[in-house]
Amino acid sequence: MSPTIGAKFFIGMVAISLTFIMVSLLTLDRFLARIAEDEVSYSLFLSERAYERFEVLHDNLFAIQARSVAQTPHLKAVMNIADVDHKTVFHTARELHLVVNTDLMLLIDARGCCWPM
Amino acid sequence: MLLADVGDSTFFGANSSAFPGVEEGLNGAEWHGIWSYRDRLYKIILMPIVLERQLLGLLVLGDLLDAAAAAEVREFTGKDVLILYASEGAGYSRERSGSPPISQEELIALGPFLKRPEGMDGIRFSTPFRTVLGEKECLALVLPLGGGAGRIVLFRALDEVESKVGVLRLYIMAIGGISIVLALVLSAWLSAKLSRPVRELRDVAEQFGAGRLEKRVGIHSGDELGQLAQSFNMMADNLDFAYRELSRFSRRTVQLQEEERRRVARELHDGVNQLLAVVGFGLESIEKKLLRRDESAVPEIDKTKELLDEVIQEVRNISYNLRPSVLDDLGLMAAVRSLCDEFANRTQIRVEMETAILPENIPKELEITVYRILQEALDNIEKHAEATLVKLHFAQENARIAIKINDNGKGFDVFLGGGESGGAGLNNMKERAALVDGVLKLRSIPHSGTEVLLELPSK
Repeated sequence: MSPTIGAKFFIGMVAISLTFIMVSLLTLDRFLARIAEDEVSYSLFLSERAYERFEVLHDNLFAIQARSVAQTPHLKAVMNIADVDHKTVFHTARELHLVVNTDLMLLIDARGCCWPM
Repeated sequence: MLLADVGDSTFFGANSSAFPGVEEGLNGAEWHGIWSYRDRLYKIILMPIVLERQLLGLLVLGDLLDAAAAAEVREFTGKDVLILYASEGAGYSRERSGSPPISQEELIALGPFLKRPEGMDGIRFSTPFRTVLGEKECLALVLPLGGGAGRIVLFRALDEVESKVGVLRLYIMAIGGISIVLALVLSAWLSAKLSRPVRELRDVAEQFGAGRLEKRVGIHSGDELGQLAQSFNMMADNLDFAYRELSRFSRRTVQLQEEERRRVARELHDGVNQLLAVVGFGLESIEKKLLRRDESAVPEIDKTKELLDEVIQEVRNISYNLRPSVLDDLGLMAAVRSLCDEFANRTQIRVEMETAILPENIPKELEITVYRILQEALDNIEKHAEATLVKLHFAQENARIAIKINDNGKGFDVFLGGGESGGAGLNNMKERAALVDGVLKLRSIPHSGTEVLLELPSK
């Protein structure tokens, strides 16, 4: 038995509506996922920019600290003493290191040797 | 690492490859770079200590690249940070803020993104990529660290975002479900609304086909379906009218047959029968006279023969009225001429004919229709018009025959009709014309004659 015209209308409209809704939902879902990923990517990008600025500032600060320490008269005076006691050098350097608070601080003499401690 | 922790005395100047920058420093230049010192990577600044142009030594300050950078970057950016640094491009050390140490599998997954080709160090690797860290899918971004000696990996777990998206996805699915239900309901309603007129049309057509000719379709809109319903109703009206006309024609045909039979019976009874009775009496009288050898039988025989001629003529007239033989023998125009001659002789009304060349293959049905209508028209003129002249005009235009019958009689008001008998005669003519798809028109003005116009298809 052939379906009635009403049934054909109904089936056709339901098919069109369901297709449209499903395509819309899938598109929206993909769109949401894409937006979320873009959001994360953008936040990472902002972090990258922030880190770059931070690194520049940090390097500048680090260089200023190093120049300040290297030009400290007290340190120069100690290192200029011939046959200076290494303990004296150590204490002097330690005081300066407490001020700059870096992870590593070494002193190398003019020959290229680290002060033995 | 404090200075005090350095327990050996190393000649850095002899290890220029392991401790780059010492030679430059000993030559009085600042140096910035990376040192791998006791299995840790440091960002190093090497500063000459100079007094009055005399180099006293070198100050080496270093910051750990991994832990310190991770903490500071995290504080600065507020993001999860993974610090990786490479030594000679292999063997990664790592430290991750707030998370367990990175596994070997994770390192393998990250490896392709960290091992950039030679010469790529120092540039921004600003393309986020997906990877798995701590059993979580992450979006990660690799940055160069310390001039390219190490890498900083910024990452964010996607599950947090996915959970937010998941909530939105649920909302969307709910909206989608509601939309589907609404679509179903709307489709059902719309399909019912659209198909209702079609169903109604089908039902009415079925009933109409079953003989209920009074059925009509309701018109609910002006769209195509409404126009279809309107057309259907118009067709039904025409069919209904045609059916009624057909019924009327059928009844009229039966009635005319009965009238014709009555007329023939009356003519046979009043005419032929009376004459034959007289002939019969005459023959009896002649028989008796012949038995008596009476000579007066001879004139009576002549008289009876005259009566028999009258009978023959009467029968011929009846036969002619039923079906003029001249129509079959000589054709329409000869029959019309014969009719007109007979009419003129009988009524003393002059008849003038203008004829065109009519097609030879006119159907017999059409010929008898023309003949009968002409006969009826002349009969009406004889009875009612008081005319002295009748003009007949035959013409052919395209596929139609036009016959015009004019008289100079007293005419009549067509809106009032031509009286009961005249009206019946006119109706007969119109019905006859309609039966062969012809049209009969009547024009008449009182005291100005009458014109009958008959148009018929020639085939």
